Amino acid sequence: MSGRRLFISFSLLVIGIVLLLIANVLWGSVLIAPKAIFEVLFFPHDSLKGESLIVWEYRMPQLIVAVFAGAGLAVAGLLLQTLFRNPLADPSILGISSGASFGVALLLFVTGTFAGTAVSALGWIGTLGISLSALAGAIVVLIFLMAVSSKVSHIVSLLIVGIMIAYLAGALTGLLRFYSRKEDIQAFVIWGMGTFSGVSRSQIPYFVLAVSIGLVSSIFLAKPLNMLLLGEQYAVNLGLNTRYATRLIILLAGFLTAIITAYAGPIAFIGLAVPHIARNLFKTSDHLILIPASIGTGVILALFCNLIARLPGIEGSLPINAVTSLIGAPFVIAVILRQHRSNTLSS
Amino acid sequence: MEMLRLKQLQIGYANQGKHKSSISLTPPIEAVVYKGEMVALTGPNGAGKSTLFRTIAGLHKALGGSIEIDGKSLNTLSLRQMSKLLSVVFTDRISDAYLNVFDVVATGRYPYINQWMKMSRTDRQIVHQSMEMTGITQFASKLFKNLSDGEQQKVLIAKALAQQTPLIILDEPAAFLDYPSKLNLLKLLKQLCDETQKTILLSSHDLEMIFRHVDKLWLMAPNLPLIAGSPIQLIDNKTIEKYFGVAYEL
Repeated sequence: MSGRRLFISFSLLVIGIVLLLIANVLWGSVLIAPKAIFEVLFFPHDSLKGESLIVWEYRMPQLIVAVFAGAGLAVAGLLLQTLFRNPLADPSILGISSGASFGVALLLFVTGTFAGTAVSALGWIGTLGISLSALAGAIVVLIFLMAVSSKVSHIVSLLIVGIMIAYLAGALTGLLRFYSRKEDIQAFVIWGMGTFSGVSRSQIPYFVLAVSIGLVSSIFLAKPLNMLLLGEQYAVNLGLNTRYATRLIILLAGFLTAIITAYAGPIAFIGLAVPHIARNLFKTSDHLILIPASIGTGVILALFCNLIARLPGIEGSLPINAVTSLIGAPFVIAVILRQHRSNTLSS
Repeated sequence: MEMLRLKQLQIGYANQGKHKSSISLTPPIEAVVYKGEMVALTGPNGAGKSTLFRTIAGLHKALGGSIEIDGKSLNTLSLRQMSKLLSVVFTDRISDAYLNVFDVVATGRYPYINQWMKMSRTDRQIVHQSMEMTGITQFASKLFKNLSDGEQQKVLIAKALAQQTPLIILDEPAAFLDYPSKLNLLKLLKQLCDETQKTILLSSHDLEMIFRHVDKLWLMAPNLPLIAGSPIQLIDNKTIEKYFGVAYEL
């Protein structure tokens, strides 16, 4: 790819992100005049208390979570698609989000059945509790995967183990739900729909820091990822310790998935769709370009979904999972069809 | 000068688990390849040709014995050092959608460049020279997956050249090629040996083809020791007949 085209593509991504950021602040389920929002942001005064609350306590945190969740899931998806050489790989494939779901289900079941209270009734402590139990569930699965990856020599075996873990955690989650109280089941269903507004303002710095560490580290894996594109045998012959690289990639993708799922729920589709869109947009397999490209595309898709989910006139906001799939699926189909057409033309 | 030496090398599969046992594919192998030689490994299916190549390339553990490349024992070499001594061309397909020919050849420079993969002018020159030597310069910006089997094979050989290793190993490089492409490929390899002093070890089923081009044959068959010799010699003393189980005449 030429330097000029690269510059234009990245500039378009940045412009897209800036426009969507502005739109996300201006637009929401409560209508606020742009002038009022401008004043809230730059010349705050007391008469705009309500507007200030909505902008600073709701829209801003939601926006930040959308940006980092979109970026993190996109990178996790890219890493796993390259590692498994499978275009259908996504952050849920290793069972990490299933582990998180199990953690949440377990918390809801235990508090509901033994402590007799619904977690949803506990306010912010409940929200934090759900995040922490999701994180715990995800990390247990991640540790197990790391242990397995040091035992098996084939990447495909690891993939199968990950999928089995997902089934196992899913079945256990189903059992827990079967015995859970009605209001807890509803809390679980809502968590499972995903949300960008589940992170309280005090938690945001930790969330941002954790995801940023994951994103920055991923750039250092660009060369091993490029080598893995050629297949394991060629990668080894070019000097790559594939076993070590595999573990680093799983650790990083798993870490990003765990953190984001803990705070935003199991968000579908961004991790699967974004790498395809980025590859198609930039027409490259070079991870030094694909990683930042996926970050940018992931941010755009997440912000766009966040915008659609809070269209004015809709009471509250739509579940993010429904929106990501509704927007992402047609997009991927369009990308595939376009790719197919250009293939038939060139051959 | 010795490029590759196999000392009492045992190849096969170790059974890890409760009952530790191993399945050796052949009697211990003693063999040597000299610098600038082109050697073809041949034998019936199941003789262990690919396993031997994978073992030499460090992709598979030896059951016993040792391998020396350019006088250095394989066990003492890091993967990085190995990548500058030996390059491979395997039968695995590369199916990525956006890799073009230049990109694939340029991966041969990975052992020499840092993690940001910035190639120097010399690196680029080496990539271009490698493409010229294999006659694929006109495909440089074409997508790898759109090339024919023969062209893809040449790209992978160019990648091996860009890696600048004294030893190149090719597993069944002619397997998917038609007759003219096979002939071209072997001529190209022979030319590389003669002009650049590369040492080439390749495997092939196609006796007739390799006969005219290689310096030495290595014969393998299940449960028989690996035997080396010139093609003529191995036909005359009926060794080929013994290893393939059928009469063979030129």
